[in-house]
Amino acid sequence: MASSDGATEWVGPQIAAFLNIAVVTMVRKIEKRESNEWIAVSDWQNGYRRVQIRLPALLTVTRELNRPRALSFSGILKARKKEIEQWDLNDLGIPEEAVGAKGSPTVVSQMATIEKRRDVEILRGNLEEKADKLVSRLDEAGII
Amino acid sequence: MGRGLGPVWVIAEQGECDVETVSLQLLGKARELADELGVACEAVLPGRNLEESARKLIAAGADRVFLADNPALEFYQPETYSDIICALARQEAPEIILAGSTFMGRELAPLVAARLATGLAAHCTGLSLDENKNLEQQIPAYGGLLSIICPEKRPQMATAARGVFKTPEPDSGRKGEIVRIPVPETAEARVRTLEVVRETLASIQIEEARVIIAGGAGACSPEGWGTIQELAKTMDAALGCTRPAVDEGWAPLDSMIGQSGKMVNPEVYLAVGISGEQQHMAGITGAKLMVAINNDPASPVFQQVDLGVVENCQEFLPVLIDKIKAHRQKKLTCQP
Repeated sequence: MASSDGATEWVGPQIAAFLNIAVVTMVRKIEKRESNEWIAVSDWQNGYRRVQIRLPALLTVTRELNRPRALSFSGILKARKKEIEQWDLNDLGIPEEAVGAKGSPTVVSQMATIEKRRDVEILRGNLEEKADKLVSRLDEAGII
Repeated sequence: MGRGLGPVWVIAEQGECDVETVSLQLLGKARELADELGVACEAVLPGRNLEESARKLIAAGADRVFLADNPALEFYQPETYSDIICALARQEAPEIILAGSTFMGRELAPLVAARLATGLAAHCTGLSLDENKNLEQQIPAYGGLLSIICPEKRPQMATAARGVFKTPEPDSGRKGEIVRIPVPETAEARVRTLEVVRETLASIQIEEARVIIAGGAGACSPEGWGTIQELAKTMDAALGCTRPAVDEGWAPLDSMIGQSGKMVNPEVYLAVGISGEQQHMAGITGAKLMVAINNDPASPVFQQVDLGVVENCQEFLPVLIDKIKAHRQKKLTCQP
């Protein structure tokens, strides 16, 4: 769903821009047409859009895209033996000042607590009584 | 001689048959910021048959509207749209660019920001200028409110959802200039939108709803979600949710309320199994009555509502639903 980026949903499009490849966000379905051409269906206001894509492209996807296959025992065992390759900034040739807080054009200038506090009234009694009280309060509010 | 400050821009969006409401709302805010900075307020609108929308943008506060009006732009085309906006931004050097947190804005704004090598603040809930005339972009996070600035790079970019700012009263007498800009040929587009299709929406639109029932992680099981749906149906309420409910697949993304989802303004809001995270609560403004049902008496949600019920929602909701139905029945028979 979007990306693990504090729900800004921007990691996908920005990586695509840095790599200079095409991007389609919120893809729920993708189908191959010709060797290099794909059709994606992605979420849009009040519905969806159909997009034609030539690879290479970066897609961000929603959970509707795919159902992960079940894990097999032998697969789990094999996975334990696989090597996990880790890249650091040196491997990628990225200067330290280009990433993290130093590389960010935006900075946090202030932090404040939010005073959205309301004085709560907790409804007391047993479950039935609480439900009765809530019904009467919803009635007072004119919504049931 | 150095150039003065650049204008405040809005990337406007043409919806199915009209300019998107969020674009007008952002323009209202852009007008305020532009007046405070003493600069022009401008909009960029790509699409097709835009003359009328351009006039609405002027009535909402734009001094100038750049129109990229072309049949090829009927649907949002990521590459052409970002090419147009980036080229124009390099030429006009806007101080600030605002875009809506729509599906288009959420894809286009980060593309433009990356290409212009500038910063971007996502899903802001407030925008103002600080003492150095930097754009201060408010974002709820960590249970509080962060102010983000982009001190070195220009333009300063931010997105905000529909409902964060008020729709300005249109002033049809306002004068503004419409500037038609050429649309570059992109025969070799790597990605092309073929069509945008509307899906039937059976449920009540959450932004318009008077009563909203919202479910969160505490209600996330197939049975639990079914009960919440039934409660919403019983009360003729719109059904909203928090991010966990979307992530678990119980509720559609377009029913998510909060900073990165929909901004809502109901009379009554009822939270079921919701913990009261700021990202969600920031999406609700102006509710006259806020109610929470949660089994944890220490849940922060209880500090943000008027009425609280400490109960397991799976046990409480069926009883509540029955009682509401009985209450309605009684009203029907006694007060025809």
